[in-house]
Amino acid sequence: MVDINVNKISKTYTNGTKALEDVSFEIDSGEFYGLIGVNGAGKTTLINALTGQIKLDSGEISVLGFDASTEGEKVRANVGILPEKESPLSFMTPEEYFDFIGDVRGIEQKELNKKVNSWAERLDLVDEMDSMNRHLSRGQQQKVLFAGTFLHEPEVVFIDEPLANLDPIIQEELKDYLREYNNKGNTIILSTHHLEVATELCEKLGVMNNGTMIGEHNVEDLDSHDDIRELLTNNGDLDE
Amino acid sequence: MSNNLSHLKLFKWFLKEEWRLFTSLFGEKRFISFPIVIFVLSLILGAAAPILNAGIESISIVYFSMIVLFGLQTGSIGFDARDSIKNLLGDTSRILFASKTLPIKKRTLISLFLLKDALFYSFIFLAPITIGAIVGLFVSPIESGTLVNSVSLSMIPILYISSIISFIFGVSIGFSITTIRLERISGIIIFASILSSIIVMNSYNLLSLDALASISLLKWLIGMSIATISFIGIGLIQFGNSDNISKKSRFNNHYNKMSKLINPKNNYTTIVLKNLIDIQRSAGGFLKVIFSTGVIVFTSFILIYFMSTFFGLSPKPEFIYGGLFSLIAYPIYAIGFRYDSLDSYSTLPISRADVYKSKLLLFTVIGIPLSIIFYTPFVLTDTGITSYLQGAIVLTGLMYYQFGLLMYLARDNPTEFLFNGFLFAIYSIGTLIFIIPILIIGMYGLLFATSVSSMITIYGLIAGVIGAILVYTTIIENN
Repeated sequence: MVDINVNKISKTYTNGTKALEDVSFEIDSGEFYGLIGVNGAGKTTLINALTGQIKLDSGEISVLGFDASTEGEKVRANVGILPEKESPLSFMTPEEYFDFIGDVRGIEQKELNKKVNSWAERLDLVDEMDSMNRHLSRGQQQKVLFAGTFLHEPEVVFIDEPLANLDPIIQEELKDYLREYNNKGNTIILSTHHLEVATELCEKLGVMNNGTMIGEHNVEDLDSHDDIRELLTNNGDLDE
Repeated sequence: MSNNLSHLKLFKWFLKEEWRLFTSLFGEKRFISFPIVIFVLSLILGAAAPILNAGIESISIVYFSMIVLFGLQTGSIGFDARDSIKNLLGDTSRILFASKTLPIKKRTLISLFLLKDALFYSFIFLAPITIGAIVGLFVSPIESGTLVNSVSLSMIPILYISSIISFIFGVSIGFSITTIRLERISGIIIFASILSSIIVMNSYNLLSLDALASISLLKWLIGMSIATISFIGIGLIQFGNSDNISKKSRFNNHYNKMSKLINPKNNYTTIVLKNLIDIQRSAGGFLKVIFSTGVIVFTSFILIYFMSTFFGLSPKPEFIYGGLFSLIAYPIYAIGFRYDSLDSYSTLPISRADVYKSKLLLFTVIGIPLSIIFYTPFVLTDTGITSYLQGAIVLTGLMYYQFGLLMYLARDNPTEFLFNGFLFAIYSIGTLIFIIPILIIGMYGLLFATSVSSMITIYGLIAGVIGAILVYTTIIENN
């Protein structure tokens, strides 16, 4: 069964930057899919398009049967999104932030409390639950965002550079969690420019460069694709 | 400060940063158009000033009072906006915060920052205001020998310098107020000193228009300069002390308490609960709402006081106060969007329409009651209940009208709007079209029939309906 269907989508920003050009691909239910590419390749724009956060110039996207262009709110109600370079709502405490997410996502308070306690322990946030988010370190803020993404246990999750700013122990902990979550049959779309992270976690990789999808590869076949490694270490200039 | 970095160089960087910040946010052309709009508005006001039939001394007092209040607002906004700048750009991305990462003293940075503000606003605001007002008086078609005869174009430099000194005086008060922490002894002493000075001066009738007008301009300028140095000194001492104050690092779950109490059934109520926490925990807390609206209320009061002194009218206060106090709609609207934007909730199932609805609800919860609280003591004692209610309807209608207009024009970006000449001009004209007729009725109200009061009340209601249509249009466009 296909969870996500992307058909010839294009997006050019008002300043003329072509962020996406004629991108097409599919993601099956339960797949751990990696979007890989250097900074500026179009990965974050693609995730924003998949979750209905930006309007497309052309093409169609279907996520869990919803049209992401016209039913963005429904898409976001059914998926989890961990954005890159964002902070949890700054004047709230993590505890309040999770309550806020619980209200927005309609999670019952008792169930929410149970999940929040579990995440706080897992991510070593117990002592920080009543500190203001803006006073937390960047790594602690990333943990809060990460937990907030999974609170409603969505069947599809978009995670953009999820391990940024985290210490190695927590990184390993979260990698285990992601594998476990994927093994339960949930679909995960990981966006990263770290090839090692992508190959360690994902089954399939979509390689992006200059706003186009230049290829899809199963991770086990990746060793034979030196061009991808070169792309990721050469500032995006792919040798033909 | 590092020996390798001169104050002058740092100051130039501050100016460059300010220019780039504004021009990158608003575009060079739109930003440059702003002083032109200010010039045109000042020209109109200058040309209309002879209608007051007052002497140059009295007009000057009103003019400089307005400049001081503008400086006061700027001084407090500059630092109050730290929270939003921090949210937008991060803590260390502005030169003001360079002391965190570079060997530059915090007090040096603050002093240069204030100096930069003075220079920047002198060019962007004070120059067009001064030139516009004098040229307006000079070309005024209204006959008034007293005022026009005492004005010449050669007064522009003196008026400009005096305006700068008045503005910096206002900024210094605003700055020192924002650094005062009332839970500290020094804060209480400073606050009590300012308050008691005002009370003592008032009791000796030193704050009356005649008393103020009898003081020479030179004495005024010397007095304000000395006071400016004192206020900045107090502010810098207080600012330095803030390093020694530990941040309260633990907070009760206010969101949960409010959520249990209200049990929000929709996303926009949820956002309002979050916004109430933002306002409470950001610099100044709820006091900043009272302060930023209080400046407008105070300015309006001064204007009404001077107007009644000049004209000796027996006005209908409900319409005058209702009309002028409705101007607090802007700061309330700006505070509503200070801590988030449409993009803040883009990863959640919250529509842009929900964000706009939340700002309407926040405005209704905070703005409308606050405006009535300000309005009531000024009006209720002088009028009957019918007049009081009529004025309250006008006030509420105009508040919603301005809110709708602001939301329609500026969307979720009040700061951009403030410096966008074109939008600001539309807002000013759109607001004045409704307020001026109400003020005229307010001033000459007793000359008109009673039915006019009912008509002006309906006029206020119509304004409110137009505001509601504008809000509704904005929400529909974002659904």
